Parts: sequence; C-alpha cells; structure tokens
Amino acid sequence: MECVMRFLAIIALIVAVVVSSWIYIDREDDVGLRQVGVKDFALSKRYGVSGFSLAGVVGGDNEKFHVNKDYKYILQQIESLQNSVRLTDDRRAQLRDEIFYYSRKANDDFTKPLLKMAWEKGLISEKEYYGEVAHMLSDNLEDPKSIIMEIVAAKNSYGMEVMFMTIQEAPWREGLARQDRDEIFAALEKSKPVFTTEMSVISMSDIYRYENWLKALELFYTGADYMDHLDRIIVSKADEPREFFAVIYGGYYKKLLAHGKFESIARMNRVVADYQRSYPENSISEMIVQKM
Amino acid sequence: MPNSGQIVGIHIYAGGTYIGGGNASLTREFAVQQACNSTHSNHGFDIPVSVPAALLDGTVRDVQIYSIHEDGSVAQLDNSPVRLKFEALPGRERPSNLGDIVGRDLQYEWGGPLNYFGHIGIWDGGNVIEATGASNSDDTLKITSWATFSSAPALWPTVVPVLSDYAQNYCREIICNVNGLSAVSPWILPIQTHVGGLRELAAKRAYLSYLIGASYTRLATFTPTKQGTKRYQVELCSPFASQCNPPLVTVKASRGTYRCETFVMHSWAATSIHSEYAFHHQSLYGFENPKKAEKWGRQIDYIMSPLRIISPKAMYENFKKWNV
Repeated sequence: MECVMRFLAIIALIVAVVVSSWIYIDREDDVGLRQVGVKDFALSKRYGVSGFSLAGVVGGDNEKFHVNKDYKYILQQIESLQNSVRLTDDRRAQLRDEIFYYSRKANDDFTKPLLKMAWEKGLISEKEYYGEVAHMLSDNLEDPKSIIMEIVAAKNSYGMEVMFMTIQEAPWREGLARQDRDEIFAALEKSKPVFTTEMSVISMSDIYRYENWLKALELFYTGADYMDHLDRIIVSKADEPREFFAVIYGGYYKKLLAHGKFESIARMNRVVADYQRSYPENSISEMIVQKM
Repeated sequence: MPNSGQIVGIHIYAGGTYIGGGNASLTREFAVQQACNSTHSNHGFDIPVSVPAALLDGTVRDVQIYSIHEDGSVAQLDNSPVRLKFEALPGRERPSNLGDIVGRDLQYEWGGPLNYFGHIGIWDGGNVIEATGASNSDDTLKITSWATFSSAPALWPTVVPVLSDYAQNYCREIICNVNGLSAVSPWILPIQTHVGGLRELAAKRAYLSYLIGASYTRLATFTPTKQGTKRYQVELCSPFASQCNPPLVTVKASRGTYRCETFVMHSWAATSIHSEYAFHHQSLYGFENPKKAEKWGRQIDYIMSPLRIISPKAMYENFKKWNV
C-alpha cells in the first residue's frame, strides 16, 4: 500500500511540475511579462552566466513542443550545419521555430547575428531575414539607424514594408539625434512604394504600404510642419492617382484641409473624381472616398 | 521616322505585357494625312493581337502602342495609351469585394483526389493574400497577383462571404497601445483606432498577418498571428508618490502557423468582436446594432467549430451561406 502511495505521490509531483511549467509558459506570453526574460538576460550578463535561457511554446495547439534553449545552443546548432547538408523537414522546421521564437522574444545584441547566420545557412529566406530584422525596430535596441540603412540598402521590399509599420511605434525614436532623424528621413523618402497592379485596380495592400510609408516619414520629419512637406513634395509631385487614395485613407486629407492646403485639396479632388469617372466599377475607390 | 516614308515597326503592350506587333506599312486614305497634318499617310496598320488568357479577367487596361524606327529609336504613339476593357473568360472574372474568397484546385501531378481539396486565398482588392508552403515552409504568407493565382486551369468561382456589414473601431497597427500613449496620463485611452466594415477588417487582418509573418503547417489547427502591445507599467508606481516614470514595455508581434484555409478562416474570424481573435481595441462603431455583431459571431463560431471538417473546399462552402 505504502509503495502504491509513493508511486502516486511521484506521479502527482511530475504532473505538478509539468502543469506549473505550462502556467509559466502561458504567463510568458502575457503582456509585459517578456520583461522577465530581459531581466534574466541582464543578470546573466552581469554575473557572467553564459547564454540567455528562454522557455516557451512554438507551433500550433497540436504542435506544441518546448523550447528551452539558450542563444548559444541555437547558434551552435546552426554553426554545426554544413551548407551542403540537407536537413529533414522536421529538423529544419524545429530550428526555424527556435530562431523565430528567439527573434521575437529577445531584442538584444545576439538577435541580428543569429538571424544573419540562419539566413546564410539557408534556414530562413532573405525575405524572412529582412522581415525579422525590421521587427526588431518595434522595440528598444542599440543601433536602430544601422538596421534601417541595411534594409533600405538591400532594397528588400518585404523588409521595407514591415519597417514602415514597425518604426511607427518605435520607443527609441524619442532619443534620436536630429542628424540621425534627418538621415533616416532621407533614406525613407527614397524608398517610395510603387503600386503593383494595373491602374484600374486598387489593391489595399498597396494602399496600406503607401499609407505606412507616409506615416513613417511623418514621424522622422524634423521640419516645422509635415503638412507642408506633404503638400509640396508628395501631393504636388505624385506619380499616379492612386497615391491620393492612400493619402486619403491615411487620414491626411482632413489634415491638409485643416492646414489650409487648398490647392492640394483641389488637385486631389480633381484627380480622384477623374479616376472614379475612368474606372466606375472600382468599388475600393468608392470605399476610400467615403473616408474623406 | 514618324513623319518619313520609312516603314516602321509597331509593338503593342497591354498592362506591360506584349500582345502583338507588326509593320505600319498600310497606305491610308487622304483624309488621314490631312487629319494628321502629315506629308503622307503611309503608316497605317492592322495588326492582330494575341491576348494571353491571364489578361482576360474583366479588367480595364491601358494599351500602349510604340513605333520602332529604322535607326532603333522608339516612340509611343500620340494617341496611345488606349483604355480598353479585357472581357473575362467565363469563370475568370476578378473578384469585386474586399475579403472575397478565391479558390482553385491544387495542381499536384501525383495528387489525384487530393487536388479536389483545393487551395483558397483572400482578396485585397487587387491581389490575393494566401498561405502556401506544402513543399517549402519559407515565406508562407504571400501577396500574389490575380494573373498568377488565376492561371490555374481549375479556378473556382469567387465566394462573397454572406454577412450584414457593420462598422467597427479597431487597432490596425502591428504594435497597439494597450493602456495609453503617455507616461504622465496612461489611463487615457489611445486614439489609435480606425473605423472599417467587416470586409475591410478581413483584408486588413490578412495583410497584418502577412507583415507579422507565419510558418506553414500541414495540420488543420493553427496558431494565429498576434499584434504586439506596448504599455506603461503603471502598477510599479507608488500611489503615494508625487510623480512616477513607469517603464514602457513592448511585446513584439508574434508569428503564426497556418494552412491556406486556416489563414482565411482566421482573417475573417478577426472581424467578429465575439471571437477570441478580434483586433486590439475592437468595438462597435457609433450606434451600430449589437445584434448584427452577435449574429456574425454565431456565424464565425459555426465556421470555426472543431466539429466541422477543416479543408479548403469545406471552408469555401461554409462562407457561401448563413450557417446559423
């Protein structure tokens, strides 16, 4: 009897450990508790503990497996791969999940080198590399300008698309020197998105991309009034009518009006009306115009 | 040259695609010479064009006509581009509404019956946002042109999901403020919401997932992409302190795992305020009737139910009618 009780006690202990680990994992995903990981990392650096321990869950509900690997472990796994080695699908998927998990949970000195190596070893694609690097911009990091310049220099359209969105909420923006802001603004300005479909068609993805570009520009503008810039540079020198639909969708029509940019407003009204007359079957243009 | 008697070549393009060419060597009637204020009328042409099936989708396109001269120079004709509607082949019409569901048979040579289950994506007004990756899990979420998507031989008719459209506020960013923009007064709700109808929300959610990123899974279960959050940790402030500077905590957006139909399903499920997949700050706009949202919530519950068969074909059929 005593033996059975001991056995049951051991089973109960194992269950308790497993359940508590899952509770921890659930909490890890909660708002704000990522700080726990960051604190661990800071402590590990301070006390010379190697690596940064991460615990979490990767994959869908039926694909859960634990990731309890530190940065060094993941790096070793990637480094040990020969370029010519073809991984099994499962092993490759597992490594990819670990890399992405680290990339989204940490935003430290190791994140970018890890992603770079993963790209070089063929574990993630070029698009995924620049996308992940662009996601780093949504949180505090050491040298955001170099990341922006790298993405712009690579002309990776997906990376830029993600970047236009993530830098809008970037907490590091406030501490930037004016010269850095100007350089970032100039780099962004040269990266004007293009519309991907025939003129008669409005893809909302194109509109979102252009709208995010406008907002990103606004956040790094160091002049007195961004509406002046929008008026002089963007609205007056638009290459095609769909740019105006993105301006409207982004809420800038009302802002231009409030700033008394009546010439721009008149031009936008005329071009938008011409577009709608030319392509009366386009329901997206109607939806956007209703937001004027 | 255009005004010389030399024979010139003609190239014709529709939306950037070459559709025909030949020589402008026909002599036209004298009236043409007069109308063009030219010394001759030797550059008439009658050139048959061959329009690829991918362009026959009901879209209005600009057709550009270029003259190619003996010295190698090229000029676009003054009276081009010409705006023409390319009538659609039966069953290949472009979708007309945001969030429409497009589908096609799979194209495995070895697939046989598997091809019947098909592949679906979501329409963003001009392109298809889709989850692909049966053979390669990289870059799972893609924005694909209609010409590419519809080039499959067995294209399914577009489904316009049945719904009673209503407007909602929602956060459309990758990172949403969950307790305010200001460290001084974080309890003030952020002005970070946008207003849109259900179709707009579905297309936006698909695009957000595309930006956030996802991996492919062969399973019928999925992990949704999640918008990131940022907030001031005001709970660290002492209620007795005269001032407090709480730290700002950012949580990056998290990646998802999808198969094609679970991606479409999640994009639409996010439009329901009653589902667990709603956007941050999602709420009914103005005086919208809450009963519409409740009915839509029940429809989404039906479609999302684990008791349903989850396959591209089944999902496609489920969106065609009210199921509740």
